[in-house]
Parts: sequence; C-alpha cells; structure tokens
Amino acid sequence: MIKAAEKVYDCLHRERYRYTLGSAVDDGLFTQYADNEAFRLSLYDARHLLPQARVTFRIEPQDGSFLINGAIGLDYVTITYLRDPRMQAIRSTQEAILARLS
Amino acid sequence: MSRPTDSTNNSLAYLDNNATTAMSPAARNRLVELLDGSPGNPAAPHGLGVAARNVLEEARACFVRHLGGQVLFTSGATEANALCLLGALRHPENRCEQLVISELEHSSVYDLAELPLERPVAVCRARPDGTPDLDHLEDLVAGRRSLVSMMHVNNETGVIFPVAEIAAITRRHGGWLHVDAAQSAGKMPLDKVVAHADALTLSAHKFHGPLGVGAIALLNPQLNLAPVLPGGGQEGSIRSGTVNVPAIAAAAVALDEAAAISPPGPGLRDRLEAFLLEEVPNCLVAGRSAARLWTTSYVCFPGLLQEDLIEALSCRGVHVGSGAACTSALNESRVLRSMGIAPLYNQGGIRISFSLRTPAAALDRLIAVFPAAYAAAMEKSPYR
Repeated sequence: MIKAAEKVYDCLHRERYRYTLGSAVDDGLFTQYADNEAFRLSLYDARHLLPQARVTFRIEPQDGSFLINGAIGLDYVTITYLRDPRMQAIRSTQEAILARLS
Repeated sequence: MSRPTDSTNNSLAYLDNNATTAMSPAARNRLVELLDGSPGNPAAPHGLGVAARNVLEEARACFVRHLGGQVLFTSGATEANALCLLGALRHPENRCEQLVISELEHSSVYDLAELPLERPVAVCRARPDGTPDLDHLEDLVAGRRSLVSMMHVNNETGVIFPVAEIAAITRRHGGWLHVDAAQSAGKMPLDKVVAHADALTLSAHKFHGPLGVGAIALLNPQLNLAPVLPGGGQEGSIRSGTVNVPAIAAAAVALDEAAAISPPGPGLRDRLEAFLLEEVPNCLVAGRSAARLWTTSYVCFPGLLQEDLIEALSCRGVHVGSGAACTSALNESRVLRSMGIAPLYNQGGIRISFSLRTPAAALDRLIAVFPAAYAAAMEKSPYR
C-alpha cells in the first residue's frame, strides 16, 4: 500500500515522486516487475559506499519511460517519470502496483 | 594576450561551459554592428548582397587561416556532423563501405546509427579510461574502406582522444577520418587534428561565439560531400540555405580571440577535484587516468541523483551541467556506462566545465556552497 506520495522533483523532462509504503521493500516488489523482457532489474550492493549501508536497486522498463530507485529494507521507493504524453497513465499504473503491495 | 574573464559577481558562478559559453564582448559588438546595418543576402547580385558576401568571405578566410582546408558554415555542430557524415557516405567517389563511430560520441553522431543509412554502422568499444579501444577499431576497419568519426575531446569527461593513432589506423585501411572538434576548438591547439583528419567540425558557441554557427573544415580535398538537403546551392552547393552572416562574422571574431589567448592549464580543474575528493572521499572523477582537457571535470557522487545536486547548487548560485546538455532520458550517461562506471555512481554524476574566461571566483563560489548543496541533495537520496 502507499501511505504517502510526495513530488520531490519536477523539471522540463521529468517528474519524480517518493512513495512511502506500508512495509519495507522486499522481493514482493521485484515480483511485480519480474518480466525480464519488459523490465530490467539491477541490484547493487552499496554497503561499502553509502553511510547507511544499503543494497540498492533500480528497475527500468525497456522503453525507458520511468525509473524506480530504492534500497532493500527501506519503507519507500522513488519513481522518476519521463515527461511525455503517456506519463500520467504510466504513473497511475505504477501507483496501482505499489498500492497492491502488502 | 592576458585572459579576459566573464563578468560575474560573488553570488553567481557559471560552470557549464561545455554546454555553451557567454559571447565575448568583441563578438557581440560585431554581431550587433551587422544586425544594425543594412540587410543583404550574400547570394544577391546587388550592392548590399555583395557587401554581405564580402563579410561572409572575410569570416571564412579567418576560419581557413586557423583550420585550413575548405570551410563550410552550418547552423551548429549537430548539423555539421550530420552533413559531414551523411554527405561523405553518400558521395560515390569516396567509396565508403561503412561508418565507424565510438560508444563515446555525442548523440549527433551516435544516434546516426539509428537512422536507415545506405551503409552499415560499426561501433568501437570504449576503454575504462574514456578513450576508444584502438585494437577494436583496428578490427572494425580491417579490410573495409571506412568513414571513421571520432571526437577530439569528449563533451562529458574532457578526455582527449588519440587522434594521430586513430588516423594511422584509419589510413592503414584506406579510410577517411572525421573529427568532431566541438569541445576542443578554441580551447587547445588543433594541430594534430588538422594534420591527421580529413574533415573536422566545430560549433562557435562553445568558444564564446554566438549560438547558431557551426563549421565543417574539409581538410583533405579528395574527400567529397554530397548535399543532404535540396535548395539554393549555397556553401559550394553542399549546404543549401541562406547563411547567418552576422553570426558567422561574430564567430570569426571569437575564433581569432580564442586563438590569441593562451589556454590557462588545468589549475582550476585540479583545485576543484582536489577539493571534491577531500570533501566526498568516495566520489569518482570519470576519465581521470587519461589525458583530459583543462575545461572539464565529470564527478560522480554515489547515493544521490544528479538532478538533485544540480538543483541544490543552482539554488545557491552555482550552475553546473549534467553531461550531455541535450539529453532528457532517465537513464544514466551512455558515455559513462560505456566506460564501465556503475549505475550508483553514474546517476550521481555532474559535469563542471570551465572556459577561457571563467574567473577563479566562480570556483571559489562552488567550493563555498558545495557542502550545503551536497547535504541537500543527499536529503533527497532514494537510499537514505
């Protein structure tokens, strides 16, 4: 579920939102984007780089229309949307996916 | 000649000079003088047309004096690159069998590979230091007459490409070499490019000239260009369209000025990088192990997003770049990705670029505000 959605960036080319979820991010999010042909999921162990010691991830569709950034164990994700005519529809779809997470 | 500086004050610093530079006062004066004067199309036979043609040819002579060869004017480097590559590929006397570019090229060259061209396109791999892999280039051009297009200086990292070596490989296999000198013209000597390339392209607004002027210097008279657009046959019947005489004349003034100024060396860039590496020890300077032009520093900060740091600096009066100014994609820099830089670094990269006229006060300003801007950007991190 989405507890809060906050717009954190807005420019000519893109919008970015931070979605606070009802629970910490785990594999449940990744299964929503498990179609390898449609999405690319990459995990990056940044425990040696970030002060908070995170395993970070990014999920991007093949068409490059949005980008999800986050870290395992946090209770929020950020999604950046490319500003084009499909943006509102794409945003609604992603928010529906996040809303379905337990 | 001593270095003039951009007018600035202590609360504003422009450090995105690889995107565009402020027009020099002398270039601006020439532009205004001609805009205020009589109209005249340089192709017209009447007296005002002849006067405009004289101004145009005087400017062309200036470019030839600095670059050599035959000079054609365009609307910018993007058009110059497209005309040079498409025109050379299409001209039958060049007998090009393929176009070879590198992963590191500007989009105006790289994205040509997406077009339905008459000839195949091969892409040369990048090395981790931001230079093209010359062994791979050798493999790609072996046995095929190629049109090779590579940049002189990378617009994102400032890495200087080994033009003489690229030319030697190209020549060994009977090919042609085009060099995109948009980021080096007016900022470093072009002797190596002029000596080894068959054609080079540039853009005036990168060296304190006006926006909207580009040029192709055809350095090898045996390289032919076919026109890409139909029209009135201006610019030697290769680039149709009425040329922008006032802006071209102003560009010639800027080129003369840039050639007269001694490049300042890497002092500002090195001071910047020393500061940033101390402030954020896990940051990464892209292409640091390669020869780089003094103008450019691309620094990646893991854990934050590029746009947040750019915005945080901009709010504090410091304007830096995002790599390729033309891109709007969500993905990280293609150039850095091709160098093998991990996404966590790549998405937190900013480009800081100096010009011949950047005052030291601009860097002082960045150093003063950076800690607060970095903290503000980290506040918005997706990984906080």
